[in-house]
Amino acid sequence: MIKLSNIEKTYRTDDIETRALGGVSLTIGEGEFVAIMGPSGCGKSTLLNVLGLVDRPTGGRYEFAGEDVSNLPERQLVQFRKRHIGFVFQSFNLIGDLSVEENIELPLLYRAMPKAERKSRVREALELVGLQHRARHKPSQLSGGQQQRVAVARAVVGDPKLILADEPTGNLDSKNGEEVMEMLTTLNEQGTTIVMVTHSPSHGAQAKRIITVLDGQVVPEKEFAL
Amino acid sequence: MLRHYLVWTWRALAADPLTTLLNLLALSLGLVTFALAAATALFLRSNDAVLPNADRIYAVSQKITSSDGVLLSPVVPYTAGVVAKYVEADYSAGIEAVTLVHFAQPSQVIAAGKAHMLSPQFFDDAFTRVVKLPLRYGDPEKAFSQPRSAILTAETAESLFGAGNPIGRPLRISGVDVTVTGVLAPVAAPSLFHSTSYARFDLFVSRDVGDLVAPLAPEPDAWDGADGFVLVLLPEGVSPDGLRAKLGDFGARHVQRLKRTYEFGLVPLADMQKVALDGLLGAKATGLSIPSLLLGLGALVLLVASLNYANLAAAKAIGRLPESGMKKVLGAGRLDLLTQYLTESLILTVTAMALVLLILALVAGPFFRLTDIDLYRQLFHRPAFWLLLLTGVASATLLGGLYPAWLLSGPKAMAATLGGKVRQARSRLASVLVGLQFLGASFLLVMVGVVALQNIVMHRQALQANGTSLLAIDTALDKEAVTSQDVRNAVRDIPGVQAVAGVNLPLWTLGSAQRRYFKEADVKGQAHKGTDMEITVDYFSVLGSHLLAGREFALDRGGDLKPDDDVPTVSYNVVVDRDFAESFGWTPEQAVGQNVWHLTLTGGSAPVQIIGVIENQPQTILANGASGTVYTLMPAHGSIPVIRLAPGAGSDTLAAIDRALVKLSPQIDWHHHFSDEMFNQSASMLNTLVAALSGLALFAVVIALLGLAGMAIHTTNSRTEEIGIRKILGADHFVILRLLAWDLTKPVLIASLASWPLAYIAGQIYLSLFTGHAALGPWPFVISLAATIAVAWLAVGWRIAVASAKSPAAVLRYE
Repeated sequence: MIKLSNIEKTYRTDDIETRALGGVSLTIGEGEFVAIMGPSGCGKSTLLNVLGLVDRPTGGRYEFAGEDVSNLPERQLVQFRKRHIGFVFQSFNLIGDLSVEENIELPLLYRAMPKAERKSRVREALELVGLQHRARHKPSQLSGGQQQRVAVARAVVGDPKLILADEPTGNLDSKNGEEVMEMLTTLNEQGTTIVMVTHSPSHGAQAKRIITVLDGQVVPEKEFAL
Repeated sequence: MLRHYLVWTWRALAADPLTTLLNLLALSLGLVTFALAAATALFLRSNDAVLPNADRIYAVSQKITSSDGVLLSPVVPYTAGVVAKYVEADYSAGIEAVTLVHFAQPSQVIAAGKAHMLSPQFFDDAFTRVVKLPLRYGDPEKAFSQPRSAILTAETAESLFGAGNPIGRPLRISGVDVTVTGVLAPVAAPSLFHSTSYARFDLFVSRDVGDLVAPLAPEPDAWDGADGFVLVLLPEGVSPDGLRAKLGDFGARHVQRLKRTYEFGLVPLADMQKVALDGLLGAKATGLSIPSLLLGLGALVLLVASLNYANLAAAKAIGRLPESGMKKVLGAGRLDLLTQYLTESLILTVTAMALVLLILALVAGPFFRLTDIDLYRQLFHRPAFWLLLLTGVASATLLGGLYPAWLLSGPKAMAATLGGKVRQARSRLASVLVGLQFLGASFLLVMVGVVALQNIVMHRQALQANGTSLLAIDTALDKEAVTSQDVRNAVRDIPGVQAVAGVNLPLWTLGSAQRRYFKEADVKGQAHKGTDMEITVDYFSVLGSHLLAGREFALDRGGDLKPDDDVPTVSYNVVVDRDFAESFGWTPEQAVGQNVWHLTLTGGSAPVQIIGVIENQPQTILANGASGTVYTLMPAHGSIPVIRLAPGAGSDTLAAIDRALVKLSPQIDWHHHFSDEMFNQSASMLNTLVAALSGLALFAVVIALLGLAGMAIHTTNSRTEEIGIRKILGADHFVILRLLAWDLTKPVLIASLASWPLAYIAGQIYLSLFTGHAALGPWPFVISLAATIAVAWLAVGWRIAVASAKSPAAVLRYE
């Protein structure tokens, strides 16, 4: 599903050049649950952003579902992203002014989906995360765990092929963290490919495969058999 | 999707009601200013637009250039009367009718035994074929077709005969008996047939009377006159371009005068006021067309309001970056977000426009009384007004909304989201935007100062030697019965009367006749325009003029008396003022004894000798490009008696003067005015200008202050963490206060200074319009700067004081 070949990412300011990724090559198959681990500042989030098509590599080739997306124009990247990728963030990134259901509906709006279908999908997503009774609440009225469940619902509502989760349990207590991990595992079992950045060895262990990043490069992998 | 844009817009606006209110106020003020400026500009271009066939009526315009290329007369919509005759003869095949509306000098009109000074227009036989005016009394066809007839304006009819129908009542106009045949219904301004502060109109009189009391000059002198409007009615469906092209060689074929070039053209009836006003204020020379200038100033205030919106929205945008970034991550394209944020801007400007319409409805009455401009007519009958207003709204939407929308839809938004923490970056652009607002406001403030300074100088000049001690008898005299000399003799010996003189112009007229003077006899060098004033011998002593060099006129000195000829060919003596002497590069002493030359009718030149130089003492308001004043001794033309009253002379003296004048002629309705009264009357247009400009400046400053207040709120909010850290590191209350105050004062200060060069140039152009112009010193600039900074401090001081006084623990708790 995903094939990265010698991907590089360098950030430049006026007089400083920072190499965040230095020749990363890896392949992620459809239906995989991959954890990306490594120390702070090693390039995990940059790699996730490149995978999510929200940041462009400065070198290398990126194939998504067999298509080279390394040099697609912004407009096509937006189309790709909204059709195929869902995101979950450590800090939830819910929009405070919108209700729970409106937050979940947002990606569907950008797909210009008919209203009836949007409502139906939002209902299903809320059921999936068990927050039907909170549909009209604002994010600020929810606990951290509930907010992250809303974020998961928002990520899955568009039925993406790939979910990218950037430290999804980082801001949660252990109980809520486990609940979120269970949801991600369930989604993976239903066929969704999941790539998760985490600092937690125990949550990383719940993935099928761990990719370790160090100084912007992928170190040899350790695979877990089911 | 549109519904969602609107819902989000509502939420965004409701989430920060203070900022929304500030933006709404600023945009409303900007749009009201722009709408009033647009209404006024359109008003000036809608002369007689309601008359039947108005779109087919054109006025022949005229421009005169000297042989050496100097502009003698700008494009004006009036010409010599003889033009009508030749236009009809040359182009009768291409036009439906042509008429001359001949305006004459104020004339004495006797009605019901009382004499009045009224301004007539003489109409010819073709008048009603071109212009169809509604009458309150009388039959339009008959009223304008009878010999020795007069059609009065409604105001004139009431002032002469009181209420009621005056048809058939007799009038005597400059000794000729006529009969009232009609009374005009009120004509909507602007109109050629509506009195204004700069062009009076009281009654129409038939051409046969005009031939007796104000005959047109015979050719070739006829071409020098500015006798009236030559109005042409084109056939339906015929473009004016054909006739305009044909008029291209009209001047060359008919006028061979003084080697001048006469150019004729066509001006739409609707544009006549605009063209006349531009000519009066020297639009060609200064590049300032009045409607364009008004629109420009209105647009400047709207720009300030739009920048204010851009500034506040951009400041708010920092806090909205994560939301925008999230939307992008979830699939929103840049266009989606641009549309979203421009919708916010649009909703705000459209709401502001609704407020503006309400405000216009509320101010329509007072505005009409002040300016004659009917805002309801503009709103309901002028598509052009709506076009301008909607252009203003669209511009404000784009100018105000585009930058924040661009910022919020750009890569920074994504970065803010992915970084997990919003970077409260201080936008340098915010300072630039506030600076730009203050640049506009500061420019207007300096101009208010310049205009006010000029008014003060002119008031001082009007009151200095004259004021309440100088009295002018501005009654039109029936020269056969009573002459100016008779008046002077009648009042000369009254106790309290110090001296009496005569002058050819009423005191403080807007402008007057000018002549071009040259240093050399070949009249090829630089021309210096002088305002010509014809005076009696004791004029300077009555005015209290200060002689700088040489001598005043004396009746027994050869050459002092100017020959009774419009353009004399023999030498005579003149006294000039300091400005005129200095325009030739002479000190007053050097000027005495010098000859300067003017053109004669035959194309040659004749000298005048300067015998004296007096201190500048302008008696006209507009310079029309004149360098100074040239006084000539011509008692026969000193038709306006001017009386200097002794200090302490009071009502007894005035009563004695009244008795003497009534004794001289009980029939005449005598009028006299003090110099300052006449100045105030003539300067009323300038006072209106000061008021309008002050209003514009006030609006601009208020809007800029709203922007600054908004910036203060956002700056202090976004720097909360920095304030806390600085305090923990040892900064006290005053250090923080100084830091924030300086950061907010800087853009105001820089903007004020940056506006100065432009304001200096604009100020110089404005001052050059006046005969007695003020010197442009530093005060308008310094006062404007001090006022701007003072009010800026008042606007933001509270916010800065509150922010700087917070305890570090309190501010860091929020981070």
